[in-house]
Amino acid sequence: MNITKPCNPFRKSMLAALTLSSVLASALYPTLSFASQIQAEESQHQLTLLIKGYEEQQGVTYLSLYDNAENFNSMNGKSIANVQHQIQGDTLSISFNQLSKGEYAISLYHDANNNRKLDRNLLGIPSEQYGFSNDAGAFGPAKFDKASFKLDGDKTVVINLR
Amino acid sequence: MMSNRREFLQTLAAGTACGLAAKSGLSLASGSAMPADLGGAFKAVPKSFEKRALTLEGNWPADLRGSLYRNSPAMLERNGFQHSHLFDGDGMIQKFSLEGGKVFHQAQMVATDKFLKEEDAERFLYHGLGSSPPNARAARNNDSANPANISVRKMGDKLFALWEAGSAYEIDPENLSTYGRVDWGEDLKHLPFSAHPLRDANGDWWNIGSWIYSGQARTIIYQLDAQAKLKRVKAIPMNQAGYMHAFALSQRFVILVNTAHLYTPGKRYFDSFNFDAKGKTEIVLLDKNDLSVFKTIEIPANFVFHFGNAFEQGDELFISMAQYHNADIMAKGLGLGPQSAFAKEATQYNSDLSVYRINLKNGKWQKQSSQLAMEFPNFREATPYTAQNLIGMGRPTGPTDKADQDYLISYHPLSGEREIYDFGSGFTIEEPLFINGASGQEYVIHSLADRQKSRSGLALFRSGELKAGPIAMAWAEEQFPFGFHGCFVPS
Repeated sequence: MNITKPCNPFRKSMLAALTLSSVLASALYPTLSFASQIQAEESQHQLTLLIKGYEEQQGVTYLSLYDNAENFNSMNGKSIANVQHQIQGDTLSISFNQLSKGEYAISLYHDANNNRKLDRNLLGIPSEQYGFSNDAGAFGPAKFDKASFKLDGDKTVVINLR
Repeated sequence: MMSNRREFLQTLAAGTACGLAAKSGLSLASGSAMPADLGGAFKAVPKSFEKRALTLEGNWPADLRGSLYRNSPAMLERNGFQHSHLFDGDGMIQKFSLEGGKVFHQAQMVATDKFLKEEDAERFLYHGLGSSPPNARAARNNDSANPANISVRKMGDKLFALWEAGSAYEIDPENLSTYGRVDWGEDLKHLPFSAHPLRDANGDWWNIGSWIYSGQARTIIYQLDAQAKLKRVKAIPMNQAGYMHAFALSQRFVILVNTAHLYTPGKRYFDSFNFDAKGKTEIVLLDKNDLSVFKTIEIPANFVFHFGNAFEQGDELFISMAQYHNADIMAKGLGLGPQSAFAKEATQYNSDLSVYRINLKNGKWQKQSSQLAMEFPNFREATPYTAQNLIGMGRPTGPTDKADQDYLISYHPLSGEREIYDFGSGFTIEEPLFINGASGQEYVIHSLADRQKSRSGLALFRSGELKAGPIAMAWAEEQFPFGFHGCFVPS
């Protein structure tokens, strides 16, 4: 059920993906793809994400992993890995192997109705569930300093969907 | 409208001066000792009241048939935790059925998503507007904490339980069961829909939703047709992030009163508002045609929950509002702590029912104070844009008035005519409404509580004859939860 894919922290912007952060701030919609082609290079640690709080047991989760503030904050789509995964319960587990020691941040959203975009309401506020690492983003798109965490060993990060 | 001035105040004041020993607290007072004993209106309540006949007094007109629906913030306590603000109680719809000379009562909790989750968890799960239960979960959206507890209104053929910061819930008008949350449109899910929709003269419904996010305030304007289908919606940017509970309509305008109770993020929603006494309140006139801002008029800082009707005469706009000189009624008065308006020795949180007369050409305005601390003002919805007497509850506050309890009040904003009925001490008077019998006779009806006998009931007056006293009353054997707003639906 979980997915574990090698991610290359040194090979950035390999996917021309729009991320949650960008979706929150623009009218564009994401076309994420799975980071399967990331090459396995020198890496040391495993990062496991537990995403909790799905209100609907259908649709797809789109998730992006970042390793620097500039790309995360600028919403330029240059994440180091992007994942999409079907929802089958109220919790989703995703693992990244071979990550180097460093500082990372996650953004994700749940496309519950499979229209390949984060639906938003009249005011531009997401009407589908989304989340950031550290459960940041209570008042809009989270910044890297609020969403980032250090990885210096195997680690599990819980993200509660908003 | 009254043709004769019915000034009842002098005799009233004489009577109350010797009849009352202590302040009962403005409006809404339960007379209970706070906070240890919340009194009958706030005690733990059953989740439903079976339909029962009430004991009648006087003569209930046979041609008066229909249902008075009311919404109460009834469930204020779970698993040993008691909410600290009245706005956080889960909604209960009460229904008083008038059936050809007989009166029945029944009630049912609104089965909101919040209520159902908390039933399962057997505790409160979410922060309220003014309360913080332990181990509260983060709200997913505005409806996570939606208790649907302020009003119940019929629009078209549907009955809706209404909050102010989230969605409406549709209710079965017969058995009061909950059909579910209402989405007015795909991109309108979970957005604020106030508890005070207003009916236009053409049958349309208007409502607002006040939205403040990341420091930016916008007011959503909803226009629904007579069957409560969405016709138009628009978000209007606001100059300041002021609290807005309700609004007003005139012939040409949607009228927003953006109060000086301003939002900056805080722990709880109500903690996030601070009254800016040196600031301003803005009256924003939106043209109904295109929802553009016709004019914004600044008035001194005030706080307002409720409005009477508004109407235009020539180049002038008249709008009445129950205004406060600060927002203590919100932060403290409707709380359930020591400074609650419900406390036995409560601070008085007097409103001042005032009429603003605005020149639509130059924006200049005049204010006329009624010297009435009137709340829950209501008018005839069938004729919204005419000068007419308002009905409400409250007390006179003029320099010679010594009233120390709440009364049923009628007030004409142009003539200043007023009429007051005194039930005596120990009664909680709830929102009065104008209603009509099948013969066309107009009445005023309201629920009330007799705190000394711990019972709730209804009072019915002939409209324009308040001082003659109720022509009929109906009493239960117990006291029902205190209620905010409702509507009467004729059979």
